Amino acid sequence: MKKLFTILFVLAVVAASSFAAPKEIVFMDSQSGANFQQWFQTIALPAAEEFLGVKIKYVVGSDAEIIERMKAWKTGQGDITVLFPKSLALFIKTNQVKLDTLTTAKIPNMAKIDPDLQVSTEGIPVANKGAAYWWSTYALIYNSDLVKNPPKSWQEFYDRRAEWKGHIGFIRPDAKSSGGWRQPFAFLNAFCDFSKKFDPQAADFQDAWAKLKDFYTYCQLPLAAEPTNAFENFNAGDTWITVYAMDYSLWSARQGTMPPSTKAMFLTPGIDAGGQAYLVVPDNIPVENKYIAYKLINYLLSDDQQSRMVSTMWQYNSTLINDKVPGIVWEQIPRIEVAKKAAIPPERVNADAITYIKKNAVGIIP
Amino acid sequence: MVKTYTRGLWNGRLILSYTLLVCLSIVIFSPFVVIIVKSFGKGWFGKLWLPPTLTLDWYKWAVNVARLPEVMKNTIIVVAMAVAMSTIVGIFSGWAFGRRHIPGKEVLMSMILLPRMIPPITYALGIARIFYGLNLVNTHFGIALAHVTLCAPYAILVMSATFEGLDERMLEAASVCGANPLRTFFHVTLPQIMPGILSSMIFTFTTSYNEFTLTLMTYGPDTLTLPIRTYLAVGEGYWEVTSAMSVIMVLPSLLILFLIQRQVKPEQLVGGFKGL
Amino acid sequence: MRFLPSRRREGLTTLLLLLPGFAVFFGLFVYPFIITIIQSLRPEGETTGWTLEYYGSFLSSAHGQQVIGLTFFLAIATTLLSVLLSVPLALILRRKIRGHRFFRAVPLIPLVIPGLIGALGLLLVFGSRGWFNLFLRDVLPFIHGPVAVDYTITGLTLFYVWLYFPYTLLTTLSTLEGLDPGIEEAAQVSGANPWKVLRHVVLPLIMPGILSGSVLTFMNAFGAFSIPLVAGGNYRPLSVDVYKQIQLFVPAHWSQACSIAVIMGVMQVAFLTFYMRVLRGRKVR
Repeated sequence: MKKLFTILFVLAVVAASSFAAPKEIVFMDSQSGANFQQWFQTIALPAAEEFLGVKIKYVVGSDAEIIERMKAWKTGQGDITVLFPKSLALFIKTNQVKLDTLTTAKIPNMAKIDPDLQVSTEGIPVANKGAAYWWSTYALIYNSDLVKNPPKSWQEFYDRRAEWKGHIGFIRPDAKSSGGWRQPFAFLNAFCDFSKKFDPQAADFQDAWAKLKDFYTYCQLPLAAEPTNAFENFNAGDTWITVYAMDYSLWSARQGTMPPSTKAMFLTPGIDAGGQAYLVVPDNIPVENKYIAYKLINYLLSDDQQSRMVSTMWQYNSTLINDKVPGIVWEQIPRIEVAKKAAIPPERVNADAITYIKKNAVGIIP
Repeated sequence: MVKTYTRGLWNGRLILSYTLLVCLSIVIFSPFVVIIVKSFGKGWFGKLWLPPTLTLDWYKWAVNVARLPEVMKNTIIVVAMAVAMSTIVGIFSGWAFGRRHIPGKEVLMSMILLPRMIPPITYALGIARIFYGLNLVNTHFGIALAHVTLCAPYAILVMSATFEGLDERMLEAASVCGANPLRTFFHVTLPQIMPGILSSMIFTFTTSYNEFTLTLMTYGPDTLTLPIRTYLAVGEGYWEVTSAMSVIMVLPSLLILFLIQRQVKPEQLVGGFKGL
Repeated sequence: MRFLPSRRREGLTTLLLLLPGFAVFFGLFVYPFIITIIQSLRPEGETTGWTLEYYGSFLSSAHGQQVIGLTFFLAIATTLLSVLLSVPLALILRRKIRGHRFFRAVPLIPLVIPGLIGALGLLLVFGSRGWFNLFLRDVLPFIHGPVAVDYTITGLTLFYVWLYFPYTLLTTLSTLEGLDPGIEEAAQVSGANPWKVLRHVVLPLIMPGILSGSVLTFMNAFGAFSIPLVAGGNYRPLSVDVYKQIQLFVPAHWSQACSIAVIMGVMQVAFLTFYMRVLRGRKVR
């Protein structure tokens, strides 16, 4: 009898351990630039590995190929445990891929996320298909050696454009990077009201569009095809002033891949829509992987991790922990409240306008 | 006036020749030199000839963040498989073409070169579709198989030339002297065809190692090869890190170049466009 | 097999030997190409039904014609420039001048390095703060710089030539070296000056070599992918356009991509056949 129990016990343990935590999970990232690739690989995920006792395989991909991959999954056999997509909206819009709905029951720290960030992304409702990990914004990036007195508003930027003729770094609107539409969108937003229903024929939009067309002629021509080209121009000293992701630019300056005199500031009435990046759990994966996913996301949303992210990467936290961040961080970058105020409010993030820009802005570039 | 000018040019032709050659060499080498300098430079902003400081940061990044050792491992596995498969195909087909009677041999040989002549992107799409269906995407074997399409023609060409040049009389002499087929093979045939096999392996190695287009269509996150990783790094915009990766990537190729320029005739590199 | 007549057995063995080669050729080239063709005729995302709309829309659209024109322009310009560069170089290199071993190895370099890296290095050298522009600024200041080379059509052609001229050079050189020196001597003895010898004797004789090498240059330039992908900027030849169809769109435009790929392949084959005819014609003469 004793023997039987021992055998059964051993079998039970074996069964439990094989059903228990998988040895390795995949964290697929299509959102991060080089700065956050380093962050995840060398800081955030190793710490998570230690905390969770699970190996995390960090993989970089692109949304297009990830979607193809997910479409090909057999039921319950998906191999991406946590996904960090470039565009959550794209995944939500694609019918053939399903995402797990995340709740505070599954991930307690989700309660700490700023509720504004969980509402919508690129005009599409989030519906808890992702948990906001950070909030990032574009800023006016300028070389303080070459631009002594940067503008404080879009109007001022437009009025003084002749001062920097040929040295303004805007990207082509048909660039792969979202900067392609963010730049003209922020510009146009300053000159017309996007909170109303979008009408390309409206007088104020036509006026703003004409201003944009004129503004493009003052940029460094030809327009940079992608941000990498714009940064090359910036590093060469040909571009003095541009609008791009604040975290990337400041981090690069400290890394030594951009001039140390690089600085960032905001323009009124709004420098950028600002964007959240979401941690996502695909629906079509084994159940035990989902449990690990929830734990991992919970860890990344913890106060300690979020605080670390702000201080190391100059990227704004998604959770409401501003009082826990060391004060010295706010000497380097504006406080998140300031940044939020400088952002274009959600009611003005007009999806139709964005679509119009993506389609037609190419037509007005010199 | 024109005559004296042209006469002057003719007499100075040695100097002109050297000028042309030196200029050509500068234009050929400068991209590599600048990549090397960029990979070691820090703070190279504005318009300077050289970076103000030197650093190993970018190489450290390539190893730690871009995980280049893993990428290297993937590349070597893929290349080894591709070279092995191509060489086997090359030996079999080369023996057939080189020593056996085949009607329409010339036509067949030209056909074999087609995969190298048609832009790979055109059939890479088809390969991608097939591989998706066979679950061969994101596997080392799959990528190696795709590479074989490009490597095999080279291997077949080189091996058929090698086998054609095999001296029958030596084989006969060996058997007359009493050697059995196995001994003949190892002591007579193999030494003769070894240069051909090595040459074929070098070509297939270079082709597979540098192959980008087909790899781009069949790779996945687990099977990043050096060319793909370097391309992705370009998109990330860190030219310094990209340069470091490029340096690491190019070293084996340049080494091979140094080896082959002594052994192999240039026209063989060009793919043996005989019959034209 | 022993009961087969020996000729049959020979044939069978030959067939077996050729089997791996055929398997590779048909399985990895012909069949994928057929798949590409089939996909190009199906409506996007479906597995049944036939349509020619992707061919039609591409060939008739301004964008499509522009892309085709661009690809041909790049290929032809590259070939012409490569020939212009290769002939003098070959004439120089065949003489055993000092250092000729080194200079002969130099053109081999673009052949063995991946085009991607060549493109990267070239982008850096010819960028607005690259050594080329610094050279102009410091050594030739009368040229108003910076001269934009990167991402221009001239620059792209230059990059193509850098990568693909060795094909023309190597065949030209080997043909040149294969010439019987007696012919040139005879011409000179007959009183022709060196220029006449070159024009009327040497060039016609090495023309086959030049042409066969230029075919390779043309084909590589036509099908170039990694270089325009990285250094083309807004100039997207056929190969890059194919790739963009599946990379930029979600869901990917497989059918459109395949139709462009087929168009590309057909043009390449057509050109090749035409070129071979021309070469054969010359040979007969």
